[in-house]
Amino acid sequence: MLAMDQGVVEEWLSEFKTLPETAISSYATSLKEKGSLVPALYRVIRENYSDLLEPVCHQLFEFYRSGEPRLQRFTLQFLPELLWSYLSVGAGRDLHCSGCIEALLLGIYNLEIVDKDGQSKVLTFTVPSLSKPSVYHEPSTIGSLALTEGALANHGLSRVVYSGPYFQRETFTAQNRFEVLTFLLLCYNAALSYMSTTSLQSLCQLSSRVCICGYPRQQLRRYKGINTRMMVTSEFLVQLITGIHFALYNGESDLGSKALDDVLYRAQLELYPEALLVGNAIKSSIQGAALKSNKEGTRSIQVEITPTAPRISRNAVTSLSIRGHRWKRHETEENSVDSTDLSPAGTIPEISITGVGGERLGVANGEALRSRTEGEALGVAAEVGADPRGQQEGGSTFRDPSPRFLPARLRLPSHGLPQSRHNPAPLPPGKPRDAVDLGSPDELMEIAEEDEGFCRRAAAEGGGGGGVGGSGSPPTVVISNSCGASSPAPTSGKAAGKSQRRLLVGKSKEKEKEKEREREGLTAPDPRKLGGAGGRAMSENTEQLSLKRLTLTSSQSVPKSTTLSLSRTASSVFSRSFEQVSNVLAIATGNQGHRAPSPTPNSNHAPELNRYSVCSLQEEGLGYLAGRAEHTSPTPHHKQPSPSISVHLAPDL
Amino acid sequence: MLVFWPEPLDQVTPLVSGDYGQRDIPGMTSRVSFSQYRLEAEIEKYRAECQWDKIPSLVEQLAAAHFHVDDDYGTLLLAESLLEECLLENVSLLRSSTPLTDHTHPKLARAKANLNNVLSRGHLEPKYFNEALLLMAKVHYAQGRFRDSQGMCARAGIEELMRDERPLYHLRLLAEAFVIKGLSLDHQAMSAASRVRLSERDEECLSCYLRALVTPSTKMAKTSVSSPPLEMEPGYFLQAALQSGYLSLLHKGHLAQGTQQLRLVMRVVESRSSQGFRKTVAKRLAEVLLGSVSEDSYWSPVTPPPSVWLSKEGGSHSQPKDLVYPSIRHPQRYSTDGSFCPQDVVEEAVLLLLITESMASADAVLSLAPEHKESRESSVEDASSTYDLLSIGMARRGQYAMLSECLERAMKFSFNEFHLWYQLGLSLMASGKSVAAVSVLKECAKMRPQDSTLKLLAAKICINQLRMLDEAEALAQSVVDMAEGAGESLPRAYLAVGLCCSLRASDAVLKAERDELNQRALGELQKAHALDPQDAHIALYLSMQLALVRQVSAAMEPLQVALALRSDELHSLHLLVLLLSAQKHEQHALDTLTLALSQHPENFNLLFTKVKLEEVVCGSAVALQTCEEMLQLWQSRYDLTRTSEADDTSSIPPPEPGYISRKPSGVHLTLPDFQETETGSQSAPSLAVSRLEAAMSEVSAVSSAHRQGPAYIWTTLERIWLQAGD
Repeated sequence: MLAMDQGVVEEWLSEFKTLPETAISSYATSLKEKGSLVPALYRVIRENYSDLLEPVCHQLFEFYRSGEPRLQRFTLQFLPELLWSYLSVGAGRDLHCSGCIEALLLGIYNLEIVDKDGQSKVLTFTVPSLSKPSVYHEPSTIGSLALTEGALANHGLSRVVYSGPYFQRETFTAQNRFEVLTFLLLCYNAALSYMSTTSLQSLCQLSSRVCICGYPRQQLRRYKGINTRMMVTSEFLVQLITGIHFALYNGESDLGSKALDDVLYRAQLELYPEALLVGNAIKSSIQGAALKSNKEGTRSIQVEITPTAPRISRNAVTSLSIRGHRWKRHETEENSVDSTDLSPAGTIPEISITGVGGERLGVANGEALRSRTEGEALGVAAEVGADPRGQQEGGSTFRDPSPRFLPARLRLPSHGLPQSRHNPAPLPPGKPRDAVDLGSPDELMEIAEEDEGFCRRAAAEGGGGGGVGGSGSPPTVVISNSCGASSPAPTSGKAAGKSQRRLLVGKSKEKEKEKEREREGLTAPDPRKLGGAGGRAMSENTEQLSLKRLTLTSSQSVPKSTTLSLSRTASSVFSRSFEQVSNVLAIATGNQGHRAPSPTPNSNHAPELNRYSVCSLQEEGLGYLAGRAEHTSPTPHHKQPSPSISVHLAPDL
Repeated sequence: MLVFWPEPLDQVTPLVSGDYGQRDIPGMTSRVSFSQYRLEAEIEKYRAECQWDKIPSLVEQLAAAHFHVDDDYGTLLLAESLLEECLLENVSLLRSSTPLTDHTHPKLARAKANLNNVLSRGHLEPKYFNEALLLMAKVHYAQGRFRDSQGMCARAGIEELMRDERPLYHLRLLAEAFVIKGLSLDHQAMSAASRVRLSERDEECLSCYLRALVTPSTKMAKTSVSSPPLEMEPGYFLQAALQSGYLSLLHKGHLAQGTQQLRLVMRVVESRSSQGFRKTVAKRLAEVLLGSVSEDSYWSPVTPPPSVWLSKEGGSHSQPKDLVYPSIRHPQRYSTDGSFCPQDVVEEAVLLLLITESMASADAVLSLAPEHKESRESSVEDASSTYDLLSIGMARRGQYAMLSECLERAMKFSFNEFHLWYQLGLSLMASGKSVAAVSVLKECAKMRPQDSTLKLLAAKICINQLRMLDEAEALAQSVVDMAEGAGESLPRAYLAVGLCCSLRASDAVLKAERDELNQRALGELQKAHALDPQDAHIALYLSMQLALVRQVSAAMEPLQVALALRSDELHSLHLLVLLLSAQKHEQHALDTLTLALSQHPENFNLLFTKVKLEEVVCGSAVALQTCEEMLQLWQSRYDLTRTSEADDTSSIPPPEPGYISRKPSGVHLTLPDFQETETGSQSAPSLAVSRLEAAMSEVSAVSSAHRQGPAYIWTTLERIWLQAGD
């Protein structure tokens, strides 16, 4: 340490002590003018053995305790350096001299975890929701596409705690170390806007070193300090990345991106999902920005011309365009349902249009999808409902007799009910959703949207309810059978539906001719017939169904999963995921294309749909996995194995 | 829009200086018939809405009806529509500031010729003549003649043009004029030699941009009031006009003002035509907020930025509107009362990003047809940048579950988009949705078979959360098979295989199978240790595996390595204690335990071990004492939060006790050899089970209403009671 530095620091140490209360504010302002002070203090902190370290730490703590924001920030700017000093000394197992730094860090922590009144501070976050108006939007102008999923699921704004409450800490222990350090970084990050360039650089250095010391990458960075590995936690890395992100955007792009790479490297080795998630996101967004600025000169402003909606959607299929088509289709279906035909109208003939051309394709896709969603969901419902052992959840407590006797609207009740359980606001439980009768297309559309969000889970649970409700509610199965038949559902639900269909074909052969849309061999029972013989036919069907299903599963390629888990997960795991389109389409086509056990009515359209079937492969895989997972997980592995002594090994694989 | 039409045209014209006016106006007004008025109104409307394809037919109608026969109004209109169409077709060239040449762009050439005609003949009334000048400025700009362009703007006197309410298309022209002037200045500054002039110009540019910004935002609001039933696509200059203000502010580092401008634009009520632009603005604003505004320096969107910021940025450049546009109404903004106003920088950013996401995902191209490849890619890029920002924001608040829901929405247009899939997998993993996470990660691994991290992540979930050991082993084995290709992940892959074997061994019923698995586990762990002797985890697990196969003294060696690498690690210390006690060094074990407890004072597992050890070493009185301490600890840890939970009627969910939430269900391994070290209580398990059941029923009877807390807390309590009972 240079003598001059020492002089500056000593002066600084002495002047604050004599300062009267009233002069603190002006003193805080005057600190900025001492250009050589901050570098000198950095040097003091870096040289652990300096005599000045202890008084300096003490003074920094006094600054922090003064409550004057500018003085607090003055202290905070050294935090990365202090953290590094603390961690590196700890790694060198040379604990004796880090005592004062430790005390300073704990001091700041203990001051920060309480609010002005000495209560534990809890940091909360209001999760914004598009369903509530804000200063930037009106819910009505946001497409209902976005509103169905998250917004309805957690209606309104919810506040969540993201930090705290914390306990006061007297000493660092292995147990609380990273809790304290992470919280300190959180405080530092909150004040990032006020931090100097030096401080940001120091943060980037800290991040790099903590992450690479002791790993082969250390050679790459040519850092020759300590070479033992330091422990990190995922939350700690996330806080570091937050700081690095700020540095990246505020003048430290070189150091910042190096540090980011190092943190990502470590997160990859430690397999920390949180840190990887944020790190990847930042990396990809800076890459995007770099790409943009490379294209244009840097001197003048760059105007971003976003491709506006009309330009794309004119000929390509977008979520929006598909949606528009969907409700049109929905409406026609309602009409036909209200007439004597029970089968969801015209799905097959419309699929046959695929591949004609852009706009046409859109229509066909949208509608095919829509009908498949229904068909699939109900196929699953039928299947679960028919399985007497299958009710593990939902079914036993969930009874609602009313809607099942509304054959024509059955599809909607079975969706509406579970939804009302998940989402308390809009629908009273058990309301049989006669909303279908509302003529206005808008309302139809709303229902359709809701259906999409929930139908898959709904189908599983509704089906469960039906199963427990038992044979007392025959129409459930009949209806769903007919739906399942009209559009092949994935896995065994599909085949069951099909067998059902064949069964029914015989019964209602005479009606076949009047149904113009069923020329492809599909049929469904006539409602008039159902009214009378429904109950009997139903029980027969159920038997047939389960028989068929059993034989089918044994021949399926998934070794472990039973039909229950498979169907349940196919519908529940992804109930909230993959909002609708590609997934459903994918699974439907996937099943068609790859495992169709018998020639399906629309298998001749498979080539047109091949474009999507690649996608389907992916998702089909998902379904399978999910099935297997679900199958294996219910066993209580998560619990403590026994009340005897056990070692709990952390999952830091 | 109708509100603005009925304004008599001649009321505005005299304001424009020029000598052409005096000659033409008397003649004009006398001849303005109703049909001409209607036709002109229609033209004005189309010009305002940028429906250039409609203009030529209207011009024909004009000619057929013999309106404007003696001036060049028709020519002007034709030139404008040609020019605008040409510009719309060449947005990308404009963006890259590539000059458009006459012979490659015939439309532009024709427009230019027309405009030259109009300007040289000078038959137009001044209002229209100014328009011609502005159009000419646009032509010059498009052709890269920035100085000429600037000259045209100067000649048109754009500063003078805005004194009164104007037809809508005039506002557009004006905004464009400002931005053209600004851009022209900007481009010239590149070649300007004098430093002093440079900074002057910068200032001038900025003020041009800011003016340009105010005009169209007013316009947007007006458009939305009258809600035109069409889809208007803002052209390059209009978009530039809208963006230039905040872009130049941000470019110059005026962060607070730039942010404020962005917010003002964002708060203008949207119309259909402004959607794409809003998307850009929202994303940009979120980016600025996340990247450059920290929690402490945040200010609410409805209040002006703090003076500290403004003074830091060297004086205010804003509010030119009050000086220049006294009469133009402020655009309509979203109301602030009763609506959600963000209180925190992440809240605002997330809100903006959710808005962006709703638009981006609606615009996403789903079709995989080759002809839509380009638009698909750009829409995916657009959406994925939104999701990146969303990830950054939500991760700061730990909202992984919500993030995974958002990313799931992206899946419908993310076929084979590795980045989005990977992010989804990570967010699912972070939010604990294990089953889905594994499937998604495996899907990612299919897209990038060479990436070992993906498989290991999936294997990690399989081992830790799902207990799908076969699956995990297969995944890890495939990484092991990559050998060199796995790079630094290789030791970890061996570790994972070893762990799987070890866990399967503890599940195995047959002794032969168990022994074989144990041996295999040992082999894999030894390989891992040999590859990376620096890894404390591997050393620990190796030691534990040795302990499991009863090679207690051999286990000490790797354990010492582990402890040397990480001296205060909980599990290493615990294992050391158990190993010491297995070797009958009870006192030594107890000392080590005390040391471990000093580092991990609140760890119940350590405390349980302590009770057992004390029972052996010091007798049951001391052990009971420890049990009592444990109960107190339990109470202080969990009951505290539980009572506060009962009081807490607000919507804030009770915070999970830090200990629980920070420790996701770990790998629980029973050490079978522990029973040997425990001398007195062989019969304990059976006794314990019955007691446990009794305690369970008791507890559930008493406090079934309270039991919604994490089950782990209750089992812990029960176990403490059982220990005390013993």
